[in-house]
Amino acid sequence: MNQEKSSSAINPPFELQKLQEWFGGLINRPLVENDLINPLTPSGLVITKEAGRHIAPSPTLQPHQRLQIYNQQYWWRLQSVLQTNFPLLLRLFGTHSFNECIAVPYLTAYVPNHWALNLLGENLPQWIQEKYQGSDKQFVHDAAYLDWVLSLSFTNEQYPVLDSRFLSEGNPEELIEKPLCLQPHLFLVQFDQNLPAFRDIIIKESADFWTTHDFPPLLQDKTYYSVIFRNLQNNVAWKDVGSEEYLILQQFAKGLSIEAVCEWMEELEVERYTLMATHLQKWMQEWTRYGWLTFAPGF
Amino acid sequence: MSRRKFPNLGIGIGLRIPHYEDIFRLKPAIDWFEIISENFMVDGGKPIENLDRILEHYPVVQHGVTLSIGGPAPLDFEYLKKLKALTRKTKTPWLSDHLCWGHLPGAHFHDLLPLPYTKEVVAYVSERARIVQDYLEIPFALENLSSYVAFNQDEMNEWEFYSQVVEKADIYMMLDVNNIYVSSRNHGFDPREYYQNIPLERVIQIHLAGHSDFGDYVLDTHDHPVRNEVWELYAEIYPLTGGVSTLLEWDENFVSLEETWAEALKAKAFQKNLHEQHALAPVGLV
Repeated sequence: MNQEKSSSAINPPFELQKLQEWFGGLINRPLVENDLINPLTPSGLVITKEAGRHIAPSPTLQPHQRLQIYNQQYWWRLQSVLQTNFPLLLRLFGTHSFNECIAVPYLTAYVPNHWALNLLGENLPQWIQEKYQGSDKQFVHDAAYLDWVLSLSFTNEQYPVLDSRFLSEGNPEELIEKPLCLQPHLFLVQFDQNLPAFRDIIIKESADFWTTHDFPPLLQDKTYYSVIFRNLQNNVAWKDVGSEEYLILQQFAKGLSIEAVCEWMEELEVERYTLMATHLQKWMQEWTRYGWLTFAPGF
Repeated sequence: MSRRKFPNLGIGIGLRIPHYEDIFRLKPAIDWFEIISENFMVDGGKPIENLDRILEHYPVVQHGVTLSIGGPAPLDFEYLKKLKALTRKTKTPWLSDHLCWGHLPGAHFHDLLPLPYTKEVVAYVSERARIVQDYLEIPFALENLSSYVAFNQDEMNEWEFYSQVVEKADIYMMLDVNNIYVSSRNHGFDPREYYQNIPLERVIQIHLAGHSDFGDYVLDTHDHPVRNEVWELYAEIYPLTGGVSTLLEWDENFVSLEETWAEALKAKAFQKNLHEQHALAPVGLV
């Protein structure tokens, strides 16, 4: 591409680049108490002096106060985006703790590096695994992961749906040999609590509401298997499934054909195989009705 | 340079999620919508479905926020490729972004950050802006910022910088009247001096919005009705442009679609100067 070559040949002016690195390095530093700019710069100087080297005062504000506006806007904007994209996590922590315990340390560790704001939280579940110190770490991770996959499901691509008409009209032999896969907007999740149902109730109320009310009961009696997906009306939805159904869907997620999945089932213990074999046809009909299945790319 | 090839779409509002339901249900007679390009540069789902429904009934103009035309990193052609694909879908008559920078290698600030006003920066930004317009193959406009700092290394004022960039790049101006006002308050200049010294024939669209006045400074918040001072400026600038598409931005503390549209329609009353001017003496600008 000619324009791409021309663009890469343009170097930024040295003075501009230095100024931008200085400016950027200050505005993405966490705010201190009362949402003020850090009084010390990374180089150890006081901000009131260092800001004046590059920034002129206004009729009403000193240079560091002018810089502080950008520092505040940076954090308030990004915290607000994370709050919107992680509504369950926000309500579990409350706004103040969410910002202090999650948003600021996460955004400091994983500095935003993509133009798309909806990707701002893509490393948040991983950051929780790496850095979060609370005793509820697994639960917090799972809540963040659920919020994240729901957000991905909202905008991920949809491939042509393998629908029941295709199943009934296609050549059966050809169909069972073709590798299938799950829609890119479909995610298989398993939790030790009934997290999707819990989330549905929680997000109906604001974060402030939950600071003065008890959370609804969280069932922890078994492993819950769920499918997160976009329905045929393009709305994000979830559905609980059984463990056998979940395991078969995992095989399709790998891009296996129906034939290969059946071979895989034959290797399982008899009880599980019998249950799967008994229900597979019904499940396939349901999955096609929901539009979960598609042909693997290239097929 | 001629503005005649650009249609005056009339008065529009920014397309925002809280208004979708009313737009789809009522199909109000709004002249056009502006979309934030990045909100629709996704692979699928409701955003694309909603955009398709809007495009069935309304002209749409694209406005971007993350190009970072003045940033030190090379232009992001993966981003531009997606942007161009979206322009093909929307058939936007032009496309705009901001005269700013927003990311460094390894850090995206998701903000419209100010540039120092130097000759070197004019040369750098204008060269990149020309490449963007060539690549996108549609008219490209840069919008003036609301800014809160001025740099010691500035060699010229904002309107000189803005004018030089668009003229050198041979691109267009998306003139935000509220931003002129906000910056005039924050930097202590006369907003009239600003608009009297820019190439108004390059203005292809106007933005209006509300701001928040904190006394010591004014913040471009897009969460209020347009202030009277900004309407007054608009009334002076609009006839000088020959009449261009005008858009109200409202991005927080949303009010109903009906109230938003009513606020935008106030622009009609301030456009009368143009019509009076026509009645008296048609001029070459039109």
